[in-house]
Amino acid sequence: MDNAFIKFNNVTFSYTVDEETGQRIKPALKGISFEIPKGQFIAILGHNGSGKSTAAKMMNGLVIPDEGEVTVDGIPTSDEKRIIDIRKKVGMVFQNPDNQLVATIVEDDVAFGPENLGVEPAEIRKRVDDALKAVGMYEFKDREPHKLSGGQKQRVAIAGAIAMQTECIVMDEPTAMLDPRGREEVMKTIKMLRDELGVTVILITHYMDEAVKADRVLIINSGKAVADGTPREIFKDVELIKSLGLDVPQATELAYRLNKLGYKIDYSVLDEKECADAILRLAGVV
Amino acid sequence: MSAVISVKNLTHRYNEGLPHCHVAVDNVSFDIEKGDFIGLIGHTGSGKSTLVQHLNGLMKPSEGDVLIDGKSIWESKKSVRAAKFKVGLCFQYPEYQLFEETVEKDIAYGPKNMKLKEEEIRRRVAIAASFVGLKPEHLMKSPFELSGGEKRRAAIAGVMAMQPEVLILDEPTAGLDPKGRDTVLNMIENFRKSTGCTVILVSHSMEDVAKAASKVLVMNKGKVAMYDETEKVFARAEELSEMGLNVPQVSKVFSILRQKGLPVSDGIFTVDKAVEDIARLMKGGKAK
Repeated sequence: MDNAFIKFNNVTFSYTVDEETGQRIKPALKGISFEIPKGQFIAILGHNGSGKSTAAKMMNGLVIPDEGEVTVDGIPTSDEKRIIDIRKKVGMVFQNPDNQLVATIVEDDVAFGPENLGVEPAEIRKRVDDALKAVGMYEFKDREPHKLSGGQKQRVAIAGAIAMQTECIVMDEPTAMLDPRGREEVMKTIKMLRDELGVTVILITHYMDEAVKADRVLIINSGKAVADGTPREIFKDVELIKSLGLDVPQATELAYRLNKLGYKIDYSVLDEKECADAILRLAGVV
Repeated sequence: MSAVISVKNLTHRYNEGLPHCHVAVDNVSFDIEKGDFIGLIGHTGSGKSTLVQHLNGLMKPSEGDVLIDGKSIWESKKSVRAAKFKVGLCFQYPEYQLFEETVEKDIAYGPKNMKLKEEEIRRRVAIAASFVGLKPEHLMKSPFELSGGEKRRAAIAGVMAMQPEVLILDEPTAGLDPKGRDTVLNMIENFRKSTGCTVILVSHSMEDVAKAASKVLVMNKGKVAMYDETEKVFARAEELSEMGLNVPQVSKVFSILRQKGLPVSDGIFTVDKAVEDIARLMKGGKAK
């Protein structure tokens, strides 16, 4: 892949060092390699402790590999002199919206990043307005962040990354604390980032119905990449997914279990509409 | 059936008397029957967190009352304290509240505050630990040596060890992987079955509520919008969606099938029931 934006090359990393031998033990990542092309929306799945959050933190140099290399747009994250360049290119959005908003007014929060980059005030004004409009939060620009709903807070956090003109946003379970409407708002915003702004999006999630909306799904298990493909390819292998402590969307599960009962139903379905269509075909209605 | 908790005309106003006074819970009344497993849903800001904090006397009503076993929580100082032990409240991300030197001491913190005898405390810690699948070797560790999922379970065990009549859990599965979610839901159900306690599960996951709860209480704009058997609540998909909520994905599949004229059953909200219902339909079809 020549257009790889983020590249993991045989990456190993461990948080713990054996006190006696001084060796690094219990690696979170074990020689993992994969590439993410520019503009892709990729979902990374894996059970708690699989190493996926560690991989996410490597994508803008928050964690540096012990062995192997991570490059962002060709720049190795181990190059300390260029870490600011990497952070300009890759933004992060975390799980808890309350831990990442820093200002007392929404627009100040969005301006925080560009201000730190030394952008001209007039340009900051424009970027902040554009970013808030993009995530549908412009009318809230004068509000206090703590009075927003969870979904709104996450959209403000995403606007902060847009205002920095990052080319890529890594989101580590951004919807885990949100109600259904908040989750929907964030998913719509991700679609907008990819379709309209051409931003590369890396989404770490435990919600399978979010993963099916991605261009590609990568599954990490015990620090290694164990499955990689389109959502349709990945979720077809229901047994593999379950053996990895994960799940498939309910729609896929329903079709799969009917198939196992001996009904001739296609279970490569990803959402409620596809599942209903498959059942209607099975019942001879269409 | 007797009501273990009775909420009578409960209103809670934040910033009472100030210009930005806000009514979070608005004249709400309902009963919770002993032994029920209730799912409590509602969008962010619907008033559900304010509501549950009234159920063990953490918050005082602006108006109205909350009764436990027929007696007002606010009758006396003693009854306010007793409410904390009768109704165990486990907050969101409870693992952030672990603080003791060992897991065992952390789980024992609640029972200790109840002034129980040493022997009884030890017995309760052992029982609670086994409910959440923590082994004796876990108990001697520092809570910070546990994995994320183990920490979560240790924190829940701390509330279980108080052997409350009512166990309230706020988003106990948030941030867990699918297998972890199922583990936590199963252990809550096992606890309910073997102790006969009442469970209130606050959740944003309609799939989890559908799997676990026999009744669902829906909060919207500070009021109880629905309170009924799970299947009856999830049959009202349109109203739920207007409230910023949702129904499980299988229920959505079934509503499309119904629109297209397939005679599927109403009130299907789990994959198990969905499989059964389609199989029933297919057999019927062949017989024709």
